[in-house]
Amino acid sequence: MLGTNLKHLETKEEAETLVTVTENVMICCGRMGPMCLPVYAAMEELEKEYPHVELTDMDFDIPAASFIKNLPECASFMSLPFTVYFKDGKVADVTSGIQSKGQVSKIIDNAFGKSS
Amino acid sequence: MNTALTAECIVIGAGPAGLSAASQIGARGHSCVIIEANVSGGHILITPEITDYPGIEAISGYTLSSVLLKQAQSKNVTVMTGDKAVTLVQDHQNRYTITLESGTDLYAQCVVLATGLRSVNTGLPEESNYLGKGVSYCAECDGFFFKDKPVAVYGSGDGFTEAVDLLASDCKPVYHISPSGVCSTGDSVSSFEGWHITALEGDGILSALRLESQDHKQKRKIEVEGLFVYMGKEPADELLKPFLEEASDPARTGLFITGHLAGTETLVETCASGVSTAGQVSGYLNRKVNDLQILYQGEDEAVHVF
Repeated sequence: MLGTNLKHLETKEEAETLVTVTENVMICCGRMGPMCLPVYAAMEELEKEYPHVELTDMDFDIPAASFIKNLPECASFMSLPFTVYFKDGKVADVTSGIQSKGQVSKIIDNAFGKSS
Repeated sequence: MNTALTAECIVIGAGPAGLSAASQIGARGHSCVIIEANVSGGHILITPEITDYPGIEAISGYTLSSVLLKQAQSKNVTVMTGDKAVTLVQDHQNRYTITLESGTDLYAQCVVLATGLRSVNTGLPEESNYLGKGVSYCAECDGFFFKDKPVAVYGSGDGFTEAVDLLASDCKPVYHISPSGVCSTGDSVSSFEGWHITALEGDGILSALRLESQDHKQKRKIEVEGLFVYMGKEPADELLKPFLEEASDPARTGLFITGHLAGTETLVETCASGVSTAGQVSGYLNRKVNDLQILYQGEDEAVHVF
């Protein structure tokens, strides 16, 4: 389990259910490394600004991570973390590697709309 | 439309120095806003374990960042992250105006600059396009994606050397490209000392680098799938530079510098020019600063603000 204050997804079923029943979901799949930590920190800070988005993380080294790793959209990714934005169960956007708070915020605005 | 915010003190940079300074200013009952271009925590955020903080046996940088943030907020400090300060101007009444990237203006009687250091990149516009698709800043994090594949490490210093050693066990070949040093011939299988990268190439995914020797006499193209950038860090001192250019002005009032930025040559120049009232910070010059000193500096600096 990752040492963040985000909601952790620990099984593939849990992840599948979440993206099916929740309109806007962001999953950041990584490790507790220097490229991933700033993204988790950005997500923690954005949680209050975007109550209409479920911001979650997933350990890259658990079996459940195949849910993210096996997405066709992530096939060419070569940097942690893999971040996937799901809208109504479908992939709306993806990124690989470190992202700033501003970059994450911009993608959320585009994929899910700004908070009302 | 621009919005405006006024506080007695504005701290720029929410690393350990900025957060601890803001906490102390807030604790003294002064209105304080701290602004940060990215997320709070600064470089301490990615420190795996801190074992020299008084009273705490061990704590991760990620957790300590969160604690410092909460502490500042509990002292009524307004925290604004994800918005970069782009200009800092002082008027004739010694009032400072800070304009953020979003267009927001902030006004204050004093400013604490704690912008620290930032990572240097290749300077090539296409670098961001290949982030996660060949370009990486962490061999330890991403090296396993390139097992048995050709990669290059670009930069200099300890991080560069460690990355080369780390990747050498998995990747084949590992090119070392370093802009510094005596220009080599480029005939070596893997070492390009005194060379720099002029272009990244690929069809969505990185596949090659264009190189040029520093004397501009030689050019090469090498095929790689990964590029690990280790160009080091530099002071994030853009906001300070206009003040340095006005070196003939009398000493500024209300401008304080702390944290890693205070440990750089920039501050030595600043003090020499009389631009800044840097409080006790001169005592830290030329000293190796670690995270603990940064925390103390932030608190020390706050004492001098009011």
